[in-house]
Amino acid sequence: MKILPFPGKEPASTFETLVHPHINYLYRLAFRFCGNQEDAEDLVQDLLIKLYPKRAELEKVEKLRPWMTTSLYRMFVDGYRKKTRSPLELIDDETAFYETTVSDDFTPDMVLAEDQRINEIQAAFNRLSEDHRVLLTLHDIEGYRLVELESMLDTPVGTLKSRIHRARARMRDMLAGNR
Amino acid sequence: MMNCTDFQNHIDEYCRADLSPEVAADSEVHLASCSECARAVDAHNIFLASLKAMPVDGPSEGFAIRALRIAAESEVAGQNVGHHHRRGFMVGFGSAAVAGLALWVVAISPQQMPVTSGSSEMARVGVVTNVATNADKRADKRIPEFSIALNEQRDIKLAFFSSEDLKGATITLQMPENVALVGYEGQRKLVWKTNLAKGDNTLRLPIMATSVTGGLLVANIEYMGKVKTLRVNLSVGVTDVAPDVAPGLSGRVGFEMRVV
Repeated sequence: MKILPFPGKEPASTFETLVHPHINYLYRLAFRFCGNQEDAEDLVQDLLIKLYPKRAELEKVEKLRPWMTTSLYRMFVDGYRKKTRSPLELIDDETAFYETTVSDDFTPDMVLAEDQRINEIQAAFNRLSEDHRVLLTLHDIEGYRLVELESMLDTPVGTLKSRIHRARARMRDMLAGNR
Repeated sequence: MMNCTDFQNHIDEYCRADLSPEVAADSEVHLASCSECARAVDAHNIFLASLKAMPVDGPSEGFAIRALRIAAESEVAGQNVGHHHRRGFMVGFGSAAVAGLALWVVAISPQQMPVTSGSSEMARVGVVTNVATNADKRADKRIPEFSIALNEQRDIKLAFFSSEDLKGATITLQMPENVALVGYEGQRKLVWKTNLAKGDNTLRLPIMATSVTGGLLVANIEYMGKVKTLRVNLSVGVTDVAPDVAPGLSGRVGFEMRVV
């Protein structure tokens, strides 16, 4: 007779051991990308289904979190843009960043009361293109460096820098429009 | 000498403290003499903090466990469940992989159990193939009942009998209000995956009665999208009670369900 282990007592599968610590993180990213719980769960679920047959490969990945982030991003780009029929918006205006002047950036007098500011930031963020949401999520929120994103997203640093600048500029414009 | 444009080009790296010592030093010199760039740094930090403060609605309850389970089951079933996870993932799994599998639940008295332990009481859940009876109708009318004294800790054993190895079966326990699961106090619902071996599988539940009321313990076993349920009435008295199961529970009193 087998004595069944109680919850948490059974050795987890390799896949579960590898992936489970990252699920909340992946969901958080997916939520930022998609903007709602349902699509975020679907995105993460589809990713896990896609990765499960590759669990042997996962064991060999040195830095699993960035690797899975890239996979999530690609899945989002491949599937969820089509699903939502959002046009792909790639901005390659690299000169934009280098033309930045101090007056273009956020200034402290734009700071509002805490809750109101966050609400307005949230609203502006949600109105960004998916490209911009992805980049601000990975770079500004999750803290990935440009050189890391270069390999993760297979995009040159200059292009990333330009897009991030444009994303912030869009947010700035939207926030300014709210005032 | 760093100017404003130079500084703005690496304001991100400055705010992340990700500059080389030389550039960082030049930046500090510039900021000391440029109030506009200093204000830009403050504003940039506020912007980043605001982005990070944006709330994220949490996933639905049990999402992580459910997502892992569906991922594993999707490979077994050889199906892509697509975007229908929450709308009932079980719908997609009653296919060829489990064709012919039937599940039944049965409760028997301690004397009939293959393994007994002190005063433990046992209900038995079976997973067999190709069993066809009308026992399900009887099961609805004959829910096993176990008695326990208030504040007493006792073990209930659930036995899961399987005619084959089942990898990744899911057990769900729904505890009644009058009984706590020792070690999991405050949790009314527990869900976890386990592997059933061919033959008898035993799950020991240490329970503690917390109030003098009746209550129903519900145990689900789910495999390949098919769910079987065992219900056990837990009766709590103020004094010590006999350990035996309720009369009339010997032999099979469970139900059977064919997998379609």
